[in-house]
Amino acid sequence: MSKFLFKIVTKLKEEIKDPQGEVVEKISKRLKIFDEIKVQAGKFYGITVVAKDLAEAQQKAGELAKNVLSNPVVETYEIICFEEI
Amino acid sequence: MKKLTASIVKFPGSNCENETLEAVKYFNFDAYFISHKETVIDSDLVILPGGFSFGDYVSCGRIAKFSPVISSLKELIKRRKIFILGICNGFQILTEANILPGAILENIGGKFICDDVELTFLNKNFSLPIAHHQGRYYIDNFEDLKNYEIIKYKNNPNGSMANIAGLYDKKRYIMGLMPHPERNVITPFKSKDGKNIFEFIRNIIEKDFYGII
Repeated sequence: MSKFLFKIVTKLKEEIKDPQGEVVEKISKRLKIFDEIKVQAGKFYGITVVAKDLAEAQQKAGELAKNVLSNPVVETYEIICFEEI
Repeated sequence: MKKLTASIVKFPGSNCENETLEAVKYFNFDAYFISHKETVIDSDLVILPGGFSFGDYVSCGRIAKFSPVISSLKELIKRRKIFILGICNGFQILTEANILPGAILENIGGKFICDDVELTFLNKNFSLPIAHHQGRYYIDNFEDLKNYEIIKYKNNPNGSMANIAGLYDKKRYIMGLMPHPERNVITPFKSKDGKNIFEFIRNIIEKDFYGII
């Protein structure tokens, strides 16, 4: 068995209005940090697991992201990092 | 009046179950609580009450959709007539579990809204309280709602698509709504408009399940 770290980001689909992202855009403009800005808010999960090999860990990480961490009706997920530790 | 039965599911974090129990008792249901771990359901009506569930971590209703009671309800819908009502967090659980279509997102203004709202349902106007942070109804294909009656907000408070406050599946007897009808049944202070919803449900069960007219 080996230990793996994976990082998952979930966010709303682009066509869906994102109030959190809009608030960050507004405050950025008000504070004159960025005038031209587009923000998409999301959630980050750093997950450490034990699995028999990389293939099993990747398959189960996808299952977790799809069924638990996101709702496919309104959200997308991306596994942004996957490494053996 | 036939004695109908109602079970109210308690999730960790439910907090509207007592008002819900009293509201259905008022309509002469033999009502009782069941656990979210329950797998045997024998009532005419099952209510997923308002409040929270499992801290609503990840997203509202996301973790509750994995409860044994939800798997049992999905099976029961296929096997026999059963009326399912999801109120607020219960509606969120029903959409997360794909028992009702669409999804419920954070309110458009990003704020928690606690207010009385005007609604229309089956050409009837009434007023009920809402109390939610995540009540913006979203659906990507309106065709999916063709077998549904819609409960609509008159003045959309949260950015829901097509002013949708709730849905009623006429074929499968499943209703989900963000407003809280249970709070306006036996309160001395406000309108008694919550009666409209429970009266509707009672009439449907009597007529369609038992042939009582």
